[in-house]
Amino acid sequence: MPNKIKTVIVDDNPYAIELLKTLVEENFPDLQITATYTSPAKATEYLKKKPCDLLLLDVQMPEMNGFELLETITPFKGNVIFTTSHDTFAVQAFRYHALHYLVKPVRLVDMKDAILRINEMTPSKNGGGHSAVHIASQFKHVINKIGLHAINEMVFVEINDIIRCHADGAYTNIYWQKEKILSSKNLKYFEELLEPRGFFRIHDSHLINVNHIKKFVKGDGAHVIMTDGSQITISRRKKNEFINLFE
Amino acid sequence: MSQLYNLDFIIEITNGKQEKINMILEKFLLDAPVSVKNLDSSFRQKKMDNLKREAHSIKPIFRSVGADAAIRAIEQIEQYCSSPVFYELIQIELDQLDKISYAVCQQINLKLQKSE
Repeated sequence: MPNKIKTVIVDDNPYAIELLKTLVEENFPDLQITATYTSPAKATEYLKKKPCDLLLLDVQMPEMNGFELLETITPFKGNVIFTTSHDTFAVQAFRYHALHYLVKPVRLVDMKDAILRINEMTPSKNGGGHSAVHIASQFKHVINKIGLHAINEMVFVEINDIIRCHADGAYTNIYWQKEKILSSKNLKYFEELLEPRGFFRIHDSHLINVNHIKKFVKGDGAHVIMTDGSQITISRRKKNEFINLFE
Repeated sequence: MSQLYNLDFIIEITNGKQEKINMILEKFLLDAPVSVKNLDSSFRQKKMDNLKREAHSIKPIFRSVGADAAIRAIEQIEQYCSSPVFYELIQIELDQLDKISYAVCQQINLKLQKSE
């Protein structure tokens, strides 16, 4: 069957696979289900040998989650639609350049929208690949939280609650409300992730949430005072750009 | 007893094909009781994190057949998992979910028998 979009479904729940398979087979004649897997490990083996065009991938699975699966088959050239009952994974989903993120059980209208995006975003039209920022713009309606990688855990924090991110070598201290966590990711990572959500890199070592600025003090040592009382210097290079944000 | 399920979602994804609807409902009848049993097992082992995660994960199963009463019970369980203070309330909601799930399955089973 030429020109069909070869599609693989991975979900640890057989019932969820049945629903998705039926949805695709009955409503999307351009898609061809080539395999379904309840085991992420077996799916990985298959995908390494037989790449597909579209992967419908559950996020939370035992053994290996959807993001981990995607890492094991990197570089994956196809499109990915994450399917999950957890909307807190949305931020991670777009970090992995997911085309779409659908909450289970997947509704026909949402799947249609996702497939439409595949057609709109084919390499011939957009130059190939989807930048994290571009994908972020598609997820504005679902992104509420961010998963912060600490040493032994992942802490989920409301993005709006984050006040500032402070570089600490290759790591980053994240401050929100009266709490703080040292993330194993660098400040550049958070800049890419949070800039579309109202954050601004005010200094080489600081990324701030603009919504948490309390006061801007002009002059030579220009700085901002944040809602947690912290005082952060604005680098000379960034000063004009910062002022332009509010004019 | 009033109808505890709504097949709008399944009718939509199957384009109303009776054979497909029946096939999905049969799978639901296999999956739903196991899912509820798994919740109960996590609760008895006091694995509250597992319980909360599993509760959240099984919501789509009941949502697919529009079993709103079951979804409400699951959401209560999720909420109560946040504190050991609510331990007894979780037990009550689990019992409630078990009863609702059983009734939903009975009603769906009856519908399947009628359509055959």
